[in-house]
Amino acid sequence: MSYHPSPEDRNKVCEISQSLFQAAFDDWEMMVGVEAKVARCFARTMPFRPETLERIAKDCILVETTVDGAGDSPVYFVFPVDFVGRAVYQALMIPSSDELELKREDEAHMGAAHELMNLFCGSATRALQEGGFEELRVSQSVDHIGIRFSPAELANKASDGALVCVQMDVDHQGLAHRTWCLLPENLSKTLLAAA
Amino acid sequence: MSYKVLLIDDSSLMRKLVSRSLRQIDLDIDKIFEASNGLEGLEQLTAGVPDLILCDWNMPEMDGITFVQEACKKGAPPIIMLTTEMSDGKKAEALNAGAKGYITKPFTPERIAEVIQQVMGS
Repeated sequence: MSYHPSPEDRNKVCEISQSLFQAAFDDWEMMVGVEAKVARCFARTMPFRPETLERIAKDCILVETTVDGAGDSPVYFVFPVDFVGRAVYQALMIPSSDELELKREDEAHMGAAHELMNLFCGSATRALQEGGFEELRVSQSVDHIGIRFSPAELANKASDGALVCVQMDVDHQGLAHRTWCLLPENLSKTLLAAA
Repeated sequence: MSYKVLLIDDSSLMRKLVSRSLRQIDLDIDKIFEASNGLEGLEQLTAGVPDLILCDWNMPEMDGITFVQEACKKGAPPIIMLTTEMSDGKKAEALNAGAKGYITKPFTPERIAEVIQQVMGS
């Protein structure tokens, strides 16, 4: 792995990732009443290998989409299943006394999760454009957004390059949830060049 | 005037959110009909005679742009696209097909009110 962004550049990638996530959470709050706040942010660079995804995304939901205007680069958002489950329950107004479990086979759950992620990508695009990246767009196409329950489902996407892994701790309903924005090397370079 | 509104979106969550937004804004709503794709929307057009239609773009069975084209042939009331499609090209395509307004998701109730006012001329 030859890509080692400087601490300054890692900070910039952190700031950009945080702006995408916080914009999305602000919109979630406005539209579905899900309040979440990015509390801490930290970036590291790791090889883009299946074991990296396994390490980061075990027991998480991975949202995969592309960034139009950046060579259709993939980008990955990682959320704890519990966090997405809580957001889906809030969005669907399911009483919190019910057992809280995001069920993959439940069409209403998965439809709501997909819609939340769809909104997330739209908010992320707006944040990018307001941040000066007018040419970039996080795809909301139904053909692009994929919700995975296992990092193994992304293993074939790994490459020889690096993955800039931005870890963000998110406060939601009094709990801290670890989320990630994973940017392949080329996407990181595109963002830094335009920043 | 009180409005009959037809919401067409394959996401039940989104229909719920739009309904909630419509009830938050200063618009006299008589009834909200729902459909989960363009085909169901066309059926609702003849059954419910809405005053206004809010329609998603990407849906199974019949997508929003096909619905707009088919509905306009039947003399449909004003249609506002409510979609994640953000590009100028898609917006132009929708307006050329006959849509009267265009709202991108995520949206605010205020944005929905603004576009409805523009479209309904009040």
